[in-house]
Amino acid sequence: MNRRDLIRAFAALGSAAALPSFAAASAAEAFDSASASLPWLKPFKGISETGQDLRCDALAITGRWPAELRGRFYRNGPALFERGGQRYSHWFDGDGMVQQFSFDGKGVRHLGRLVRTSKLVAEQQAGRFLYNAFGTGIQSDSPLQGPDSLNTANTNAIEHAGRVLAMWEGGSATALDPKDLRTLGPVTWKDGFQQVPFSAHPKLDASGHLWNIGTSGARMIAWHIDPRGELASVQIGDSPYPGGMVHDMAVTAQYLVVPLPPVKLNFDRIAAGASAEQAFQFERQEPLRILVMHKSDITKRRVFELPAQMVFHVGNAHERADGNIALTYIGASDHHSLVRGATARMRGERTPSGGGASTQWVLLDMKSGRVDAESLTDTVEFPRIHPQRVGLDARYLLSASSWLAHGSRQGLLFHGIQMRDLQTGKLERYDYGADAVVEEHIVVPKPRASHELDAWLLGTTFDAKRQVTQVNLIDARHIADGPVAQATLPYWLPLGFHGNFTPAG
Amino acid sequence: MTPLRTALLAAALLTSLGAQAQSCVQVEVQNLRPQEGSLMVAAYTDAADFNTKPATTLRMRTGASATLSFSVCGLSGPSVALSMFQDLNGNGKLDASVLGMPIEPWGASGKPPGFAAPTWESSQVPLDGRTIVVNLSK
Repeated sequence: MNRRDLIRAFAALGSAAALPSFAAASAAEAFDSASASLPWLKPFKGISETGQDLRCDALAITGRWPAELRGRFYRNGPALFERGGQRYSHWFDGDGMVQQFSFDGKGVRHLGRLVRTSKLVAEQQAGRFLYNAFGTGIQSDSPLQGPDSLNTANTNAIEHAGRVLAMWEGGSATALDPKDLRTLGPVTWKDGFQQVPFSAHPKLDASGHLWNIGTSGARMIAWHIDPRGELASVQIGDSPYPGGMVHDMAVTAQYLVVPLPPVKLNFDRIAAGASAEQAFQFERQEPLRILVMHKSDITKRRVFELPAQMVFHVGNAHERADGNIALTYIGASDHHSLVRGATARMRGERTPSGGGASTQWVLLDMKSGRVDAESLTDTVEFPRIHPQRVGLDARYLLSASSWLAHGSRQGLLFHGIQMRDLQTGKLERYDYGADAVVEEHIVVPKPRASHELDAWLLGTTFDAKRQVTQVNLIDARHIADGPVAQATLPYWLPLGFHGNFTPAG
Repeated sequence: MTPLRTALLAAALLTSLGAQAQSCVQVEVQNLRPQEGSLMVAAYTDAADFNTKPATTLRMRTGASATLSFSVCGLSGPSVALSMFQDLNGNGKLDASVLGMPIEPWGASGKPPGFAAPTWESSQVPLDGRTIVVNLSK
C-alpha cells in the first residue's frame, strides 16, 4: 500500500489536524446547572463513566401486562457522555448502551449493558476519551485503524439469527449475546470486508431477510443477510451524492430506497475543533435525492430529486400495482436538529425553536422519473410500521409526536405518540402528559394476528417528575385510552434512539 | 506486489551500498499485537523519496510485549520519517479491505496522522539522537 492508497483509504473520514475542542473542563457542571430547571433533560447526563451494568429483575407493573406477550425488546442509544472530566458536546457522540427488556408472561426484567467496543475498552483503560467522536474533536495519540476505531455502536439494536446486532452508521455492527448482552465483537460478514460500514437502519422483511446499506465517502454498499444470519450478497457501488450523510433506507419487493439529504458531515473540521454547526453543512442549493437501486444489481438505479430537505428516517416504501413506489419519511426544512437541537440538550439547554420534522409522502414514478410529494401537518420523529408490512403496503404509520406546549415545558421533546392512517389521513394520538419524554414506540403483532391493528404499541418514556424510565404497552385499536400496562424501572435510562422486538420462540 | 513492498525490497538492496556520515536512531514502537507476525519498517531521510525510496528498511519479529525497541542505522541528514506496519499474516504487505482501508496495524513517526495517511511533513522528525516513539493504530 502506498501513500495514495492510504489517502484514499481515509478520505471518507476527512483529513488530519486533530485538536481538542472541549469548551471547558466544567462542561459537566454546566450541564448539571443548566438542566436543573429542565428535568426532562436529565437523561442527557448519561451514565457514570464506570459503565456499570443496569439490572432489574422485576419491574413494577401497573395495569395488566398480557401473559401472551413474550420476548425481548431491545433499545440502543448513546449513554456515556463524560469521562475524566471531559463531556461530549453532541448527543450522537456517546458510547452505546443496549437495553433489553424481557417479557416471560409473568413479569418484566431489564438488563442494560454498554457495548464493549474497542473504543470503549481503550478509553476505560486510559481514563479519558481517546478518539474523535461524531460531533466532538479529541486529539488522538495513535493513528486510526479504520472507522471502527471510532465506532460507538450506539444507534440501533436488533436480534437476528441468534445474536444481537448493535449498530452505528459508519462501521461494523457489533454482535452481543442475547442471553446476557455480553459483547462478542465486531461482525465481519466476509473476509476483506473488515470495518466496511453496515449502517444502523437495516430492514428486516417478513421472511427474515435483513437488508442494509453502508456509505463510505463516494461508495455505497448494499448488504443482504439471510435468515440464518449469513451473508447472502454484498455489492459496492457509487453514491450519487459522495460524502453526504445517509442515515436510513427502505426496502420494497425489488428495490432499496435511500434518501440522500444534502448534508455534508465534515468530520475533519470536527477533528480540528469546529462545532457541529460549523462542520455539518446543509447544501440548500442541492436537492434531496431519493436513490432507488435494484436489490440484485445496485448499478441498475434511478435517482429522483426533490427540493432540499433534511431526512433522518424513513417510514416505509412499497411498490404499487402500477410499478411506482410510494415512500413515507420524516423530513425537515434543514439540519437544525442535527447541529442545534442535539448540542443544546447536551448543554442542558432548551432546544432553539425551529426545525421541526413532519411526515412526508412521495410517489416515485418509475417510468417518467416524476415525483409527487405531499408534506403532512404534524411534528414527529421515529416512524415505525407493523413489522410484517416492511416493504409492503402498510396503512398505519406510528411516530413519537408533539402537539402540545404543556405549560413550562414549552414543547420540549416529544410528549406523545401518533398513529397516522395513510389511507384516510386520520390521526390517533395519546398524550403521556407534561412529565413524560416519549421515545420511539414500535409495533408488536399480537400472537396469531395479522391485521395491522391487532398489535401492541411498545415503547419507553422518561418520567421527569419521578426520574424513572417506564416501558409502556398500548393497544393499537385503542390508542387514545393510553397504556394497558406499564412497567416501571427504579432508575432512569439515557434517552435512546431505536429498537426492535424479538418474540420468544 | 504493492508499491511499498517494492520499495522495501529495493531499499534493502540499496542500503548495502552505504552512505556517508551515517548514524543510528533509537526507535520505540507501541501498540504492537504481541507475537503476531512481523513489524515492517521503512525509514526516509528525504522528502522527495518519501514512500518511494527508503534510506533503509527493517523487518522484525514481534515478541511478548506490546512495545518494541530497536535501532535504525544507515541514516544521514537532518531528519527522518518512519513508516511501518505490523504484518500479522506474514504476506509481506499491508493488507487492506475492499474499500482500501488498512486492516493491519500501521503507524508513522511524528504527529499522529489521525484520519489521514502520513506525509513527509507529518512524519519527519529531527535526527538528533533522541528516541523516536511511534504508536501503531488501534
